Amino acid sequence: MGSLHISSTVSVLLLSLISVKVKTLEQPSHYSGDLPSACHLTCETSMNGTATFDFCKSYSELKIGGRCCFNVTALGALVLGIDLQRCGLSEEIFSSAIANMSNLLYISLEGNKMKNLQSSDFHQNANIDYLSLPPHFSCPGSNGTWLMESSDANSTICQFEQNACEVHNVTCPSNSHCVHSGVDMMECLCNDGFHGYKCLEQGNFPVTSFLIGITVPTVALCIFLYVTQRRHVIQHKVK
Amino acid sequence: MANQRELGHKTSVFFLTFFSYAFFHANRKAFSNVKTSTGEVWTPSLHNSSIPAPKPDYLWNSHHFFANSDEVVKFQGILDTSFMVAYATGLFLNGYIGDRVNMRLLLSFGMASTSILVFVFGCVCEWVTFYNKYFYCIIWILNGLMQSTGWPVVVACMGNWFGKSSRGLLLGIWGSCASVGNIMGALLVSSVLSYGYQYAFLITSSVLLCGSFFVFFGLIPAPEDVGLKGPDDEITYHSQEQGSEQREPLLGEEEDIRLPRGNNNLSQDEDDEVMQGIFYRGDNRLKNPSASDVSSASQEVMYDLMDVRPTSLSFWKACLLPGVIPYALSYAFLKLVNYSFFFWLPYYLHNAFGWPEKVADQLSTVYDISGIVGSIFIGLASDWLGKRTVVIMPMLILSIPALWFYQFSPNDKMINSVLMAVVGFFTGGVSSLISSAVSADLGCQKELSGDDKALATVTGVIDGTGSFGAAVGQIAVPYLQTSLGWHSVFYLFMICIFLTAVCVFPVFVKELRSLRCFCFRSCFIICGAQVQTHSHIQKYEEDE
Repeated sequence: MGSLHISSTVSVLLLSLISVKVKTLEQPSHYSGDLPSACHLTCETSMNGTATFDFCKSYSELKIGGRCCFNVTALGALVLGIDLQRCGLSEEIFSSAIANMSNLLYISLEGNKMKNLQSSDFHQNANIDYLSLPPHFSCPGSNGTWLMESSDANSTICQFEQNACEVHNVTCPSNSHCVHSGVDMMECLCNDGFHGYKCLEQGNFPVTSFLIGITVPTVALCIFLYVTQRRHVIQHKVK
Repeated sequence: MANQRELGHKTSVFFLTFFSYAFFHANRKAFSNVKTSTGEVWTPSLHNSSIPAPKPDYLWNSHHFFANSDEVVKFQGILDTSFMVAYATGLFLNGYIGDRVNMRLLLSFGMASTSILVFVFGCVCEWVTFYNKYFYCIIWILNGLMQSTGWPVVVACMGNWFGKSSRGLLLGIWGSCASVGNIMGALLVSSVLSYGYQYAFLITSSVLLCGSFFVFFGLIPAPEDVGLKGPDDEITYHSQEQGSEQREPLLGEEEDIRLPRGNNNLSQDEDDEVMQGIFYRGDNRLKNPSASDVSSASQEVMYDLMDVRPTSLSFWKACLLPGVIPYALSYAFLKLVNYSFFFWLPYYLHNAFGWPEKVADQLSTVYDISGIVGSIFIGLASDWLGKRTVVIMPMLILSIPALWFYQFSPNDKMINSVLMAVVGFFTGGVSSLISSAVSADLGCQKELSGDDKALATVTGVIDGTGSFGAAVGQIAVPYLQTSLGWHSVFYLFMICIFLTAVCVFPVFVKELRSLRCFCFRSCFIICGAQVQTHSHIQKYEEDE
């Protein structure tokens, strides 16, 4: 659409004004185009009144679209909460549904036909504040992963994901540091200035100064040696 | 005028050969100094049931060339061994070839191809993350073959330019080129190791390539190539032309240059005169049947062989020269120890004391520095006595307790350096002397009737046999270390030093006997002549 505006003349100016107006109208109510497909799962109950819904309503900048609570940023919709109660999900479907989300604060999963969830099913989500699971589930991760765990007849609730580096008191190999990267998961990433396999390399090799530093003296010395040495060699006539 | 030019050429030959071999050694040192780094890069991260493997996998566990560091150490040992076997084989070959082809081109070619091989091994393979055992082995075998062009050629060039008159101290100093190369290599490697181990190979191989250009544009293998007479008026080897004696002087200046060698000698300092005295004195004594019956008996045999006066001494005849076989065998045991230190010292310091690789690399140069000191000391002492083995023997005996103490070094860099220096002084010094001065003596002995062409061959035989010994050591060290610990490695070293001493023992006894005869005689001379300031020269004249 933009390219059309640039190539067109004055008459298009009117059209552009209209299109801008349409865009602003579209944004709040139907953000459907940008939201991940997981937000459009069909579920038995509505979102109204759930913990995720309440969380979303308590912040004015957050919006609800489908099963998701999201924030509109310059990069697009940032999903912060997802309510998937009674959506008939299996572990695999759930895991792949949230595969591209890494900023979830609220997740609700009661009433699904899951058996067990691994911490890896939550991918890169390192800041989960509220996770509700079907009853008889235990919270993913290990002892200390969550600040608070509670369970009743309807659900198991895990609250405030803890930094796995601190929970496990991880020491990373030299030149690297621990980064909390998901539920009960951590990574060792290179310190500033280090890179390469096992963070063994530090800084960048000064290629240009090396090349200049080695070629210039070499050429100079070769010329010097030829003038003082090989020039004096007597060429013998081969019979 | 001619003297000045000759001095210029000599200086250039001295430094070109010195640095050619030093650059070769810097390249060898590069591999031994990055053993810890390559071990890290070739393996996934260390983990077990109590320590989980660090994530993410691409950063910590993507390289599976070897499962753990023990396997890496063994493979590095295999690489060292295949290198040394190829190097030893190459030394025998190149010693023979070196006496027959253009030495400048051979050396230059060897340096350039070594440089390319090291570059492929260290840089290209790492940049494209291509790790393959067989490929590495093949590259390293070729590397060994190419590196072996170095030693016989540089020693032969030195022999061509510097006669017996100046061989003593000069070769002692020049013989430190290997140690200087090691130090250069260690410093170059530690200066770029933080950028990644591949840059260590890049920088040392680049320097070697530059060196090959220097040799190509600057090296004059023999004085005859520039119309100068060889040292000691001997027929010296000159590159590819056999009939060069027929050449005519092209310029008036040539008349000057072709002055008899005796004139040049006048300009040399008195030290040289003294050394000349020592060498000639020793040789004359050997010719004297009353001095030593054993040596004169073997002498006759050699003279008979030499009557044919071949253009170059055949390989087997070179091996049969007196002293060559005992020294070749002893050098095999000694080089095992010396090269084990060379190849494994930085790794040992890292592995046994947990010092960072960079620190271990720099600390390991202490061994080389004290080796240079030792080499010069033994060179001087043996020049003064006119005998080499008489000095070498006590040094060998003393190196055994030195090694014994070194294995109990505490985790303290200062104490470790001191103990290392003592070991380096004895083993490194003797090793360097045998490979340079002793080789040159044996290759230029009077049995050759002034035919210097066995120089490269004899050097090749001694260094080649030594390198076979060193090859065995490089496979023994990692296996002993991983299965029995570092102490067993040190016991192996002590046994080897003992065997070295056993091998040179016959030569030692022979030299000691002649030295005693000589002492009686010189006492008699000194008493008879009453006042003698320059006793060496006097003795020389006396012998004449």
